[in-house]
Amino acid sequence: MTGVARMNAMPKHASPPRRQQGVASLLVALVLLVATTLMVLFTARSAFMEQRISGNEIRAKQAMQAAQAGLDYALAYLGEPGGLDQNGNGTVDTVNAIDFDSDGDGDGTKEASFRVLFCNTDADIPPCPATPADAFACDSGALSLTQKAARVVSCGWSDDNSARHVVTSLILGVSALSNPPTNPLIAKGTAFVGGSASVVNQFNNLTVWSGNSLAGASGLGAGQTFIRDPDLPPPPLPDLDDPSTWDEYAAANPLPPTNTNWQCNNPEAGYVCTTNSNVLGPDVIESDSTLAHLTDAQFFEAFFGMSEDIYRATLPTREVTGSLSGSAGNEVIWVDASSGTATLSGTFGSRLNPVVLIVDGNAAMQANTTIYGVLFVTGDLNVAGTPNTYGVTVVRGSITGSGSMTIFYDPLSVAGAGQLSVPGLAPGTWRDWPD
Amino acid sequence: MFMNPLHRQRGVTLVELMVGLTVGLIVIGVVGSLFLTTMGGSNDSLRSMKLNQELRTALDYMAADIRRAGYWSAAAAANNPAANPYMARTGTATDVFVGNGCIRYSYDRDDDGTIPRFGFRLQGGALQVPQSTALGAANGTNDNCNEGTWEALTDPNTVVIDELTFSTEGSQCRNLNQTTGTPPAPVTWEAPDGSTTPACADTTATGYAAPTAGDQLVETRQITIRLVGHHARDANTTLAIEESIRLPNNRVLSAP
Repeated sequence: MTGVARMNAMPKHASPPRRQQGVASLLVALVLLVATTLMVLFTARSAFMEQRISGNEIRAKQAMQAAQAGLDYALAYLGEPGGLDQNGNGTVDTVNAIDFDSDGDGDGTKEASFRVLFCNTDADIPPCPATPADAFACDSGALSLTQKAARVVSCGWSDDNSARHVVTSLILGVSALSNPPTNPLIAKGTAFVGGSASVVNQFNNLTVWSGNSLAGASGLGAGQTFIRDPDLPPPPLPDLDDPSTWDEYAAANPLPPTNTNWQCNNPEAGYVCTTNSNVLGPDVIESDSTLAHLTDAQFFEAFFGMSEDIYRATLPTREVTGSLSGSAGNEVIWVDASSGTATLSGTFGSRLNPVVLIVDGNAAMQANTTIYGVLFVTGDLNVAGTPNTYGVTVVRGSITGSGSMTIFYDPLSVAGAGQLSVPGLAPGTWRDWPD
Repeated sequence: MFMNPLHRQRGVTLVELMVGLTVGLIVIGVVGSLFLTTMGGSNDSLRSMKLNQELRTALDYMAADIRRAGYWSAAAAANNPAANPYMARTGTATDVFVGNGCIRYSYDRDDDGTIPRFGFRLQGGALQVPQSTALGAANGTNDNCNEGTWEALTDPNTVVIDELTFSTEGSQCRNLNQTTGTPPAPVTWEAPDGSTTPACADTTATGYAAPTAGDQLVETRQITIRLVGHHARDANTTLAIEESIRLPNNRVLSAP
């Protein structure tokens, strides 16, 4: 019994040493737990930092890509009719902040934004402002509209505007017309068959330039040419280097009246009739062997400065197959008529917004067709009714049909057509660090 | 009277000791293993974060600089992109040169017309760049990554770079004087995967058509950088990253 009693009593008296042993392992466990907690905290902090660094990296890339997008946008912007001045207010445009939803989820939240400036080619590159809404301007004066080259400065911002990036490049225009002619009608083949076409040139004494004879029933057909009355002073030419004066020029020098009144026995005031079915005037060059001996390729290159295929691959702003009815202007249109005749109907451009219209194949013009600018037909041009062209008409084949076409030389339309160009980034001019 | 001192000096029974020790050991063991696991995991994360950060920074740095290759301050005035001395490939070549674990390129950083030859190479587990004092034209040709003095951009005691490769794959060469197809498009070919040859000189490319002398060629260049590295204290923490950059300054040349 005593043993049992002692055993029973023991826990009461043995408790102090046992508690000490528990404290030791508790302390060790506590220290380890605290160390673990600290370590986890440190790792979490590092992970948080890592996340921030990744965030910054992504934002820097957003800004960079937005700036690059701005450059591409500028290129497309200048390729539109109107070029540097799309709103038509006579000054060079700037592109205001454009936000975009680049992750494509369509939720409308801004992922990045850019702004674009068109500056002089020698402009210093301005640093990007802190936010897209702040002032941002070219540092060496505004660009003039007549410049054929512009320095495009594009700034990109990340979603929270914390990262920004500037990118700049020169944009140059490749002209759609390298050697514009100065007479109304050029035909490598035969011009003036049938009909009673009128060719009018108020500016100089060359109307028709043909590589073949002006064949017709009586040798000359019913065609007529008109030039300015030699007693009158020559009219002024538009200032080719300053398109901003062209509005005024157009108002002061209206186009001559259309075809109905052009009769050799009663010409319009200020004009004389030099060629009709009986007389061949000095303003007509027919059967010019220089022209006749050009190959088709050389004939094209003489006007456009490059081969047909390369021109077609690089310059047209629009390419259509078959017939075409009208255009708003400021376009280089390539009409593929290789599978038949392309019928051109309606109005193409206007005097201040002309077109370069190239028909690859045969073309047919209708009664209501009016073309401002340059018409180039690689095949034959068939004329019906009483169409009009203002500018220059070039036909590599012959002019056929029975219509009465009126062909006016208009230096303003030709100058406008010569201004049409396709913008491209100039190699070696891209940089992304400010001056 | 004797009971108390006797009692105080008395030890615990074997059973008590065993139970106490077992419980204590279990507790310490659980907490200890928790500690060790956390430490191991934490170490791994910290190392991979460090590796990730170092390699990404190095790659971003390289990509941002290589993208500038070919810039020429006088490009606008000269109006002849084929004359760009920062993209020449004859004489003391300065065009982007991609070699074994190295790249050399050039651009007009100071707008002063001098031709600095930048580059990156891998040596001794570190990414290296030419010293800024050794960038001049006197430093010989561009197609050599062994001349001049180079300095390390990364620290091989922290991160060891195992592989650095550059490739021109995806670069395209367009011949502006030759067209193909209907409607006509310029003749174009592309440098194949893994290529290190400039696209316009890559006669093995699909669609390659030998240009006639004097043809105008436009090379749209793309450089793919591949970077593989591991943490200096843990060979198992490895990372491979790759980035393709399109060089905005196209190279224009006249076919020889």
